[in-house]
Amino acid sequence: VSRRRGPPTLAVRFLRRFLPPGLRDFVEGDLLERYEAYARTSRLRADLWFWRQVAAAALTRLPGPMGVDGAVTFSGFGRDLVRVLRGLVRNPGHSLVAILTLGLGIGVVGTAFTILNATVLRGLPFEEADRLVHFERARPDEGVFSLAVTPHDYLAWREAQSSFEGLGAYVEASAVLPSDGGPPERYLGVRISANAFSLLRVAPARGRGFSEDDERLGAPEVVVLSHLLWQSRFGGDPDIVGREVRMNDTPTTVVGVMPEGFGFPIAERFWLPLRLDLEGTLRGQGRLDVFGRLSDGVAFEAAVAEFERICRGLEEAYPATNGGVEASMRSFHDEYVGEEFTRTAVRMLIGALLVLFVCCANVANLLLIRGSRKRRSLALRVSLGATRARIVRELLTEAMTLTVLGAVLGIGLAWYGVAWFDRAGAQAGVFDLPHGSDSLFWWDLRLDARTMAVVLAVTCVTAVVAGVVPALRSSAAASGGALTVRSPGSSTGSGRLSDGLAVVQMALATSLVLLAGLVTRSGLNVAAADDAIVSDGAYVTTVDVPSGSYGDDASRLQLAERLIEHFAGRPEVAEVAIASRLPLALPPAASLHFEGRDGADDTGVVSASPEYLSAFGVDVVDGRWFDDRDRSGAEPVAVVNQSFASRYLASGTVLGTRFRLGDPDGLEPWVTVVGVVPDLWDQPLQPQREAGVYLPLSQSGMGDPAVRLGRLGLRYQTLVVRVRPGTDNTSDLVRAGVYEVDRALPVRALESMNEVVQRQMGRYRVWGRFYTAFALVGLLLAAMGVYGVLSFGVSHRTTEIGVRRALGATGASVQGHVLARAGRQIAIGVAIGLLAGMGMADGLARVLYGVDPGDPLVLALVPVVMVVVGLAASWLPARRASSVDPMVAIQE
Amino acid sequence: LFIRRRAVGKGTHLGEFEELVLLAVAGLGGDAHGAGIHEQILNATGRDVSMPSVYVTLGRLEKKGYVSARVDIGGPARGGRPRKVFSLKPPAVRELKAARGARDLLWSRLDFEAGPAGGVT
Repeated sequence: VSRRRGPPTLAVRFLRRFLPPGLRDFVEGDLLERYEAYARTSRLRADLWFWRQVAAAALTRLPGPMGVDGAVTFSGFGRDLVRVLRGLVRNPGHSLVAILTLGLGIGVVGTAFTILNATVLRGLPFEEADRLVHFERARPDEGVFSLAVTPHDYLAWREAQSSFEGLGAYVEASAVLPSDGGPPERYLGVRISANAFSLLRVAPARGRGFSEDDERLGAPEVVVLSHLLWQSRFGGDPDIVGREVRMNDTPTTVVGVMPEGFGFPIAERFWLPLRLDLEGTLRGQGRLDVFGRLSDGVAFEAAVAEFERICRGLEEAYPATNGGVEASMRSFHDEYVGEEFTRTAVRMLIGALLVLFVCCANVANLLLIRGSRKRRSLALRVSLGATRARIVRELLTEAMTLTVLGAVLGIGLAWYGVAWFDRAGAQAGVFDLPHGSDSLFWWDLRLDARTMAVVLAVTCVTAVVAGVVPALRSSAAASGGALTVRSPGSSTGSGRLSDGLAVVQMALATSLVLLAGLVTRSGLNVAAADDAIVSDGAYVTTVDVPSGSYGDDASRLQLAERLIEHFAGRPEVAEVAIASRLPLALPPAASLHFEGRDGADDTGVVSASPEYLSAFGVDVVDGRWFDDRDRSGAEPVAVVNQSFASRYLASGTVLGTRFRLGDPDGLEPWVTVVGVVPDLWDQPLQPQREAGVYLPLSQSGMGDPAVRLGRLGLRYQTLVVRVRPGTDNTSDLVRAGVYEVDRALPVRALESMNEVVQRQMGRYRVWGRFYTAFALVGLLLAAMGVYGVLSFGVSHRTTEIGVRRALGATGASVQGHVLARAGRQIAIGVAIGLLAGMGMADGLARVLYGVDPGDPLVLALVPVVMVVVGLAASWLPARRASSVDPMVAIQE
Repeated sequence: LFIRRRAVGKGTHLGEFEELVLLAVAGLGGDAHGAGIHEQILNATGRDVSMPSVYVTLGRLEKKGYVSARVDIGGPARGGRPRKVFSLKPPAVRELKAARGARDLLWSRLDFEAGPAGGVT
């Protein structure tokens, strides 16, 4: 990088613009000469000096060539702009506050709109994507609206319908790919019908899509890769098409690669052909996601009507399986984004617009104050012949200039806000979308042209909203002869206006602070929940046990024992355990029956090895945990969590209680409770704790095969490894270990327990921080608003206050008067805000952890905070009022 | 009233900044260009004045007939930009001398060693 010599290029360019042609070369030369002198000591200082000179050039009216004055001719808007800029520089505090306020407001709106645009408005990146429809089945009579489509129905629909260009279908699939010199890796994708890509109107970037032949049962397996998988797993191999890879232990030919960014329907890494085995599937069984593209000229309603007919036909033909079944259709986009998320995003934008509105009110107030200070000079100009329109134009230019500068700041803030949101949203569970997805392939959070256009429009509206009232008022005051007469009570109009603004601001801030209060309490609960989990050094991953080589319980149990044995022998590993579920995941639920008691209860069930508890460094609350005694064939035992014990059993009777899982007369053995543990890993972190049961891993082969296979069959084994402090590369350690035990075992990504906790708490944390930031902004704005309104009032009523003082009012009584007025506004605002906030809090319940939206502590504290902040903001104006010199005030 | 005072103020007497600029031009002899004037004022008063305001003042002084200007070629230090070189005209010398005379007269009446004479604190 070559070092720049001379002043900043941009500065020079500006300088030349500001200088009249006749002087340009001379002044520029002089500045270059002096710049070099400054640069000898410090280049930074020289740069700053040069910029200052440029600013001076912008604000100085330079004479033209050879003494002709006014060669820099700005007419109309330009002249206003120069005057405004001069005013801003002369009044830096005021201007800065206004610019910051507007920047904040525009930034918040920019952020909220970008998010809404990227996630909801932009939609799928396909041609006429709004004509893509997603199908489900519903049984409205039974209140069930979201059933997967069966293969038989899909094919019947496909044959009978004419409203769509075609129907396609897909079903989730996972693929295990071997990697060179390491354990295999697992990826998510779908099996999809051959017509899908053409329905979406997207062609593969390389190779081909699927043909009808590929859908035949028993045809050679072929795969289409996503751009991402092609790049990450195959290093972007240019000869990938035609290459054979081993996928799920099956030789599979890569026939194509989809374009970058394509991941239909959610965020898929590969596509396999959909192969429907109608003979091997009973009518009424099997599950598919179905979608279609509406034909040109067909209305959605017409398609719905057609499918009603088709479903009635199927109902008559197959009453056993299709009785009461209807097709439920909605746009593909709505299906995957969902109303819940859309509502959240829209609500966020509305909140942002409210904040912007408050910002506008604040700036309008500042401009009113400035207008009232400039009243005399404006009046002078009116009396010298300036028209009112001319004055209004200048005042609007002032608002516009402030807003544009604010918008520059706001775009920066929005950029930052969007980046933050993108990072935060990358954590699972934050967005909570339908179909369990965390993000969708077409989401792309960034500022784009549309966002910029909206910010621009918002900026213009903001300028008018913030500027027009002050401009009209100030100009009216100026033309109304402010030069001569000034009566004490003449300002009630604008006074009432700004009082109203203060109340609105106080109300808005109160409701925001109320929300923040709830979120803060929730945050404290989240932190407490975090602390209960000792997760340092603990890592978890899941091993998918192939049913081919591990066909029965005994072999799977043996695998678990070999894994434990292997890792226990490693010096880096302090503890190792195996369980049937990931810690903090939702466990399978089972009904249970207590011995000698009628009726069924329910509980989550996890099976775990004896090392499980010590791997997390926890102790039993009562009784014992599993040990070597609890072998297969020994007396079946269980350990329950505290919620189980307190919900179902009287204290003192817990140990020794016997219950049976599943059917009361079923094949499951009676199990005896031998211990109680804290509510921790048997369920997701959530405020409502559920009953949970642990069974010993070694006894998981006992009892009902259905229960074993469905729930505890160890098809997936969760490996918990706690490493000694200072161990690096735990991921490699675990991969290598599993690889050594069995080279064919695919391992999913290793996660630290901290990450798992983070993932679960992400939603509460991210939204919590978001609302807290909102509330702080609101509080700040409200304080500024109250301050602004009162300062305005005081400066406006200087004469009145002077008269009061002259008539004997003490400083304290004047101060009291101003504070009382402020107190009234604060009280009204806080009352309205509390009511509004309580209304809004209901919508927040989803992100509150263990806090009721009507939490009494928060409801009591918020008004106190608001009143304190409000009075603090009024203190300065009140003091200024009490120090008004009666003589000066009256003479003015 | 306003307009008349303006005429009186700017028409015949020198403003403080005008005086500074004129003195700087005088001090630089036949070679007074913007950069030199800026440097002179900076060294003498510590004020880092803006170049455009120097030119504004020079323009006014030129109109009043106190300075004359010619264009000179520029060197590499100024990127080859031409220089506008100012020199004093006789009325300026007269005006500066008059200003100094008035000040000297006022100063001569003061004696700080003996303590402030009336109103100087």
